[in-house]
Amino acid sequence: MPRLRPWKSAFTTTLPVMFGYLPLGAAYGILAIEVGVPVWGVLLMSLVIYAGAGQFLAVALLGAGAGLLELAVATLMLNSRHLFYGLSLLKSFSGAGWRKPYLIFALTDETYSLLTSQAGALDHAQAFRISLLNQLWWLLGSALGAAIGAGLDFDSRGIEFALTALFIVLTLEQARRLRRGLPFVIALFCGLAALALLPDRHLMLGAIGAATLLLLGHYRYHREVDA
Amino acid sequence: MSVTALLVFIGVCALTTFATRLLPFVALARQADHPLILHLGRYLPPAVMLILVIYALRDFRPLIEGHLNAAANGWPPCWWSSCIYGGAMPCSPSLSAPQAIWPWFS
Repeated sequence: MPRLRPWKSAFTTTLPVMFGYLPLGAAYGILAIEVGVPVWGVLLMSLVIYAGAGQFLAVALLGAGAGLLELAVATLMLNSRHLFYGLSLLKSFSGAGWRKPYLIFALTDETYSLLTSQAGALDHAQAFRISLLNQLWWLLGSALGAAIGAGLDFDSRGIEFALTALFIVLTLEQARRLRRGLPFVIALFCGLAALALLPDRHLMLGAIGAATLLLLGHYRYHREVDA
Repeated sequence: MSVTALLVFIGVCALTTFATRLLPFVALARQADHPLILHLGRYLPPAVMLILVIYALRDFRPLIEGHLNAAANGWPPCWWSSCIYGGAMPCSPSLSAPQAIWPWFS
């Protein structure tokens, strides 16, 4: 059926994310139930927050009896790398119409990886389908974790490596398409420096922030050279 | 926790998360065609992708720090040998990377 073809294409594209989101979502669901969040609360968080690490953090703070201000500040710090995601998708999301608010809402690491790896100009309808399916996998994983709870008894260690494998493949895809080493050299330098010098919770923000600054410097240098 | 308190808790987390994602689109809505934004739009995604790979592989951190320490100490023979052996066995650096690099600047 022709109408299902785009959905089939989006489903295929999001399969690697599904293999990562199902176990991670289940882990979040199990943790949330153990802390005392009701099943409807687990699903509501996955529906309206939709931030993997942010939800783990929220559940941890909930269990610790943290206040709202502490929650807001911690969430802001943890998700601050999303500022840079929006920065690099400003042009791509232009003209997305009614889909734009949802595309912005659903901008997780994995969705960002898939959207920025699409060849050519971003197809907003396809981007919407990809974002929607990714959140569906996360919701499904959360529901599984909440429903099965700690009774789940199988060794799932390593299954979430599907996300790491996805990031590696998409990085190679971007390298093949871009054919310029500059962003990868900058990222390698910033990433390894952050790994060696920064604590885990500041690693992503520090590395991406430093990479952005270096790219700004590169832009400024070339603008002066061309002037 | 009461239902109301839980809903408020979830609401604060949801709003904060959405605000961080929305901010660039609101603050820079009219600069989407600015050359700098286009430059970042071209080069930032692949850089972020590689950083995500490094972040996801951070469990290999001791091995990486070992190589950085050896390079910072400026002992090429030891560094090369640690590279050779590093692939077969984990490194056990005696100094953390900042401590190794700081004497160079003090």
